[in-house]
Amino acid sequence: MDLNELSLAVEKGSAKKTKELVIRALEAKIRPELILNEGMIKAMGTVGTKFQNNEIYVPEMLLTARAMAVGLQILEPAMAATGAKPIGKCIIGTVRGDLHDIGKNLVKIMFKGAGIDVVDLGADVPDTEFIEKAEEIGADIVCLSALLTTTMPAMAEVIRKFEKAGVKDKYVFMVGGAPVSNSFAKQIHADFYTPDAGTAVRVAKALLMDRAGQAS
Amino acid sequence: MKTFHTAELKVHQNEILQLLGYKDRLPQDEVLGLIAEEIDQSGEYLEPALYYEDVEIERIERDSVILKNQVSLEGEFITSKLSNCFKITATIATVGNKVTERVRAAFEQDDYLRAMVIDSIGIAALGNLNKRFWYGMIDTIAGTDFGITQPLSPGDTDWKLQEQKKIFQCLGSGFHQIKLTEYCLMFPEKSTAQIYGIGKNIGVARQGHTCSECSLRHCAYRQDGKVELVVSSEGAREVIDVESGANLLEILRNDHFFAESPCSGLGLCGKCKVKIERGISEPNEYDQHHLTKNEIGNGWRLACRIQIKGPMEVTLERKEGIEILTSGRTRWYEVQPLAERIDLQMAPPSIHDQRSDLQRLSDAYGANPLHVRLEDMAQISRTLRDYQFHVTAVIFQGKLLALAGNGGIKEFYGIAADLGTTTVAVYLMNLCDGTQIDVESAVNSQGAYGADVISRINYTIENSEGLTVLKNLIREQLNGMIGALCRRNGISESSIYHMTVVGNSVMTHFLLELPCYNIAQAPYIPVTNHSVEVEASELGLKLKGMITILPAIAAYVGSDITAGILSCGMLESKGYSLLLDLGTNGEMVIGNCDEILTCSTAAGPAFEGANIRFGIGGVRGAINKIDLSRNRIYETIDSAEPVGICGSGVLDATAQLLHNGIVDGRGRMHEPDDSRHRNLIIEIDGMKQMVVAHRKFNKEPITFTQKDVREVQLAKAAIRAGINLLLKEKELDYNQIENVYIGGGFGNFMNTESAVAIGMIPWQLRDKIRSVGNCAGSGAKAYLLSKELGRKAVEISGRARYIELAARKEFQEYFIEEMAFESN
Repeated sequence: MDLNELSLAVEKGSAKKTKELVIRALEAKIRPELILNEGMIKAMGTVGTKFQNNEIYVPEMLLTARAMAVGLQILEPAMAATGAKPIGKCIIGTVRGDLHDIGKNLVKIMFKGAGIDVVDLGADVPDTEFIEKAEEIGADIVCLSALLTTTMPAMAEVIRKFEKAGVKDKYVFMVGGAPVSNSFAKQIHADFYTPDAGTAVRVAKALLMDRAGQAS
Repeated sequence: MKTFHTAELKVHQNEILQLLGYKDRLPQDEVLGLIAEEIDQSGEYLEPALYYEDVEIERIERDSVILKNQVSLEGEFITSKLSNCFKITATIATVGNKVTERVRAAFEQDDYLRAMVIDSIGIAALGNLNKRFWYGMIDTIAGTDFGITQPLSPGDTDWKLQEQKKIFQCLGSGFHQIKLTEYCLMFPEKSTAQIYGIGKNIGVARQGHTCSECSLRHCAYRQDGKVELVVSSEGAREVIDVESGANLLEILRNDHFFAESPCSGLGLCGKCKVKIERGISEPNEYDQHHLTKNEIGNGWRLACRIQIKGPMEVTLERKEGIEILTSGRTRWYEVQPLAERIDLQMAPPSIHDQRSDLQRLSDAYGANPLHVRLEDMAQISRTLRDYQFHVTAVIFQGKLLALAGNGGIKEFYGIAADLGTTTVAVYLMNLCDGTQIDVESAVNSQGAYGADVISRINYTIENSEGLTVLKNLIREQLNGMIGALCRRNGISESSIYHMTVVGNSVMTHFLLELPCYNIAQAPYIPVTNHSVEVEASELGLKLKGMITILPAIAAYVGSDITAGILSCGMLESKGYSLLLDLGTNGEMVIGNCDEILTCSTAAGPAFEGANIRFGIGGVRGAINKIDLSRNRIYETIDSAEPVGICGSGVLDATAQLLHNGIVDGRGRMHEPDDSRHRNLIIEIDGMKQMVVAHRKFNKEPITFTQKDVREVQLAKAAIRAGINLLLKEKELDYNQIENVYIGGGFGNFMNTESAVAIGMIPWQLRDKIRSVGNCAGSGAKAYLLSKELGRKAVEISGRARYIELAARKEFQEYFIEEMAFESN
């Protein structure tokens, strides 16, 4: 079976076709990791690049992400059976005082599509909840979102909590949201600022791959 | 605090696509379907509300604006924005919380795309609500010297988000559904707090949020690099927000500024020049080609070649109305309009005569049965009884258009319209006696999309919405003109029962919103040549009755020619006559009472002013006569200061240059031998040209160039070759031609002597030339007023033969032969 076909289905955002092809690939006894990497994650990469170049727009990216999620759902049991692990774990949330969650949700689905385990804390998340959850699940990445200039300080507060507890270096902090900038990210000791969901997933994947490389 | 009341909010697909980031193409059907579905249901989840309050400004300090209610707006940004204002209007708007709930629900079901779509609908609806309010405010200050700023909103500009509280303070209490949290988060989320500044002589900002001023650099909806464009036109100043990289001509057209662009923005005609007051860039090759050094030095550039990169200020050249030919030759015919007003009396029903009301009415008229619009059907019974079965009806081809008590329909009018490529003329006719009550004419508002039909067709091919844009323009224009006629004469649009329309096939196709691409390319096939009869409402025209588009003959011989044949007099004799309709296109007809032969040639728009260096339409100040034997060699329309040369001037210029030996038989311009004309011919950038006049405002010469002579050669050769071919086809001599009828925009203003002198019309026919004015308009009126002539029109178009010149080898030969001036 040709995994390119699957890759194409994901790229086109056809959830139905993706589902079919993943099932067929499993029946053909192709290794789940191969299906994931060659068939799906590759497509996600292509789409990410196209998005970056303005060749495709958010809706198409969402369709791809949805196809990806559907495929993953089928793949997950098989992956678990072979002992394969997700490429990384992440917690995400919109900080205290802010209810805007669209951007955060977009990042979430992109991360999921890339094979990252995401725990979504929702919006208006109390500062301490981030550290509690991160510690609990052993997250790799902590993503913070804010859309108001008035709630940006809450981002700094969350990171400060990690610093105080002396666990900040265990995690990579990624921040985003309309008023957020690179310099603000530096100022509050976040590791990365990314302007959109497409960039966020690329950065996250690259750094998780890096970690995996260092670990082995 | 006041409440703004508005009708249901509409959101358009395009707005959603824009918010989703689509710039240059449509998404796949799945996304479109989803958008349509959610827009469809938006009535259920959008709950718009807008509250506002006017507050006067007490004083303005260095970094703050103190309002009468002691609220102080702080910061450099807001202070500078309100610096010339005396009051503000503070607003708080929302589309409610249901939309946000719906977004959340979609996210929870992992339907991210739907969630994004709904969210975008919420944003667009909120934007539209604010826009509607703002436009209302603009309306109230229209005609005064008050101006209004763009909407100013804390948070998305350099105005601090915390200042939202002040807007809430301005509105006081009295509304509860919109709240502000301590973090300045508004609830419902899809809410805005904005103010507008009002002041004297500050101009009217035309667009809303200015992304270039906004501090949210990475906002997903940022339209990157929106920049401010200030347009001054005829004394008015408007501020438009445009996307960086946008084409200046396109922006001007879209905002209904009249920018002349005969070539539709291809950089070929050089007509769309504008004066750049601020934000000028180096001239490009197009500027250098079309503009003089002086013009370039003074800041003139071609709008079509400008990509707006930063803030800009431009001034448009003043345009005068075009002189339009609306008089035609009058012909006698019996007035018996297609729409009939008729008295009908019938016996009341009884137990022995139980015919239905409609049957009774139909029997009285003698039709079986009358067609009646459903909404009118409901009124029949009542009208018949109210007037004891004695009524007056307006009936059009077996269709009931109006019914009233006997003698009740006193106002009985019709409209004849001539849709020219360049101009539109609309005649208001009294259907009772066939007299013309009034006429209204205007420049075709599609002109900004190209001077000739091909450029406009190309516009519809290159732009998916193009046909809709052109259709809307002509329909709106017709409605506007009809409205003006009605108001001026104190009549109601609902008393107009029939409208006839003539025009070239492309114009009528645009009106009917029929695609034209097959007209533009060989083998040149229109959707239809038949007469089209529809209810006015189907075309969105504001009259009560029917619209008839007269039948055409071929793709390039439209219903205007059918109308011309009908009205010029050609059909009344056994002898053959020629009809030349010289406008943007050149159509030629030869015929008599038995047969009609037509052809059409792309004479090019040279005679309408396009492709000519200083060419313009027949506007005020256009040079329309040139005579080198006089002291002042030119005359202008209305004797105004000269602004350019129109078609008849172009023709005269060529004829005069030939006559004085300055242009030779092959079309080459020479230094004049005659000392009288020595200063007449100059050379600019290596090209010989005749100085005709000087423009007053910049002292630039208006010239007629060597290249212009070449354009005239092409145009005249095409027309003359067409005439030759028609004559050849019927094996006729010049002396067998009875009359040469000249009609059309240019044909009527041209000096026929000049037309003969350059050989466009054979000298043998000189004495047979008759001007028939706007023969297309006359034909449209004839069709409206006479059933008999209407029948004839259908018959003519049915049997007329069309010769496709492109398919004729000899046409090329004639064309080349006629290129020279020597043959006369």
